[in-house]
Amino acid sequence: METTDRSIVTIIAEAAVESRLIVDVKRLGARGYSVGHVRGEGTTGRHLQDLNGPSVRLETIVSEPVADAILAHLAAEYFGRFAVVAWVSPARVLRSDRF
Amino acid sequence: MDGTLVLDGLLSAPVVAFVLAVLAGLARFEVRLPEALPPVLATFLLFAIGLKGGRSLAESAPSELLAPLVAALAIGVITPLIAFVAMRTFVRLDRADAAGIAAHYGSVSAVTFIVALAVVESQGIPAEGILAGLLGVLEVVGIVVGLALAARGAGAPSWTGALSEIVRGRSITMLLLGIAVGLLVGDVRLAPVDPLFVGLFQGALVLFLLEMGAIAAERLRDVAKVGVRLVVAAIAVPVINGTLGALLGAAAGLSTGGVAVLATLAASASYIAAPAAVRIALPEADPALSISASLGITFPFNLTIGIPLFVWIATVLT
Repeated sequence: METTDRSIVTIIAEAAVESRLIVDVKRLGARGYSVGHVRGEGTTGRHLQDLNGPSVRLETIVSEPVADAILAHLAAEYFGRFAVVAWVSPARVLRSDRF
Repeated sequence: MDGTLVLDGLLSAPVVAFVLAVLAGLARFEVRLPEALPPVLATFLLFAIGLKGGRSLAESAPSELLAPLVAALAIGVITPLIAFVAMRTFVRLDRADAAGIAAHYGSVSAVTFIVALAVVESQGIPAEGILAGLLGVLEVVGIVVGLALAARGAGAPSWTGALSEIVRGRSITMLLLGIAVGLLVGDVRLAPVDPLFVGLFQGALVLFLLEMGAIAAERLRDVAKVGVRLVVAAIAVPVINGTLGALLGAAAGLSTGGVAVLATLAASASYIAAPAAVRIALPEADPALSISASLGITFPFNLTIGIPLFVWIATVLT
């Protein structure tokens, strides 16, 4: 089967930044994304589960340059100020024109 | 202070459910409701309270509304300033943390408001319908003033994001929709929906307070980390702000119930709208400090001691 290499960017973030994360990720070139709620614990302590909802996990499949741009943006704008972790992992996709 | 008044306030089903849920939560029992339910209950309660306010607003003359509105605006500006000064001088927090907490204490807690409303009604001294509208006003004004205090220092907050977050957020939207529906439909024609929005209201409130108790218990465990001075301030600030609210409410000519509820509003601290807005606009402020203070200390204090205290102050003033 003919597959194409792409990158999965996974971001775990406090609920407060969900909407602005989505705007930023799309602006940087992501053409789609998925968001789900997650529970857990990190170096800054238990995820703040207040009434605005638990933490979110945002995933998007993108090309390598877009993945790098998203990570660079997170490092500059988010890491110092919000509870956010992110990583990139490889993926093989069909229909590469979608990502 | 009248003993039966205090007992009536303390032994209402929502307050007892809350206190028992806090205790069960501290003992690590699983008190949290299934994840999907609390947002549904919160939406229901806010819409129902808006509906109730709107239908009694439909009965009142516009001229009766100006003085309470002015009182609420004054409360919205003064209460965050008092909180800010207390946090800077007594608790000795930096500007960002103090401003973040000031935004929480300037804004209000809809749940505390709803419990206060239920308490005064059960005591036969119902509050005016305009108070539901004042809840919406205070929720926004306090946060804006709190964030303005931060803007005077370094790290100016991003206003647009924070403002649209509060104004268009679910809690204000549901409240305003409820007020509008109640105002337009009117008392008589609302009767068919009363079984849901009036009949089930108290039961839904009890369920929601179980969840609030569980969350407050989680916050109470963190209170040890925030220090004695913040704990003292989280009790002193609502007493000062509530007394101020009672004085302004009485000056605005509200009824005894109305004064008690406005005082409770002034005393309450936000833990839904303000945290979201402050996180976006002022990320330098430590959210653990403000949530622990508002949800772990001020909210339980107001529910158990604050509301009976403000009912008593209201009876003295009116």
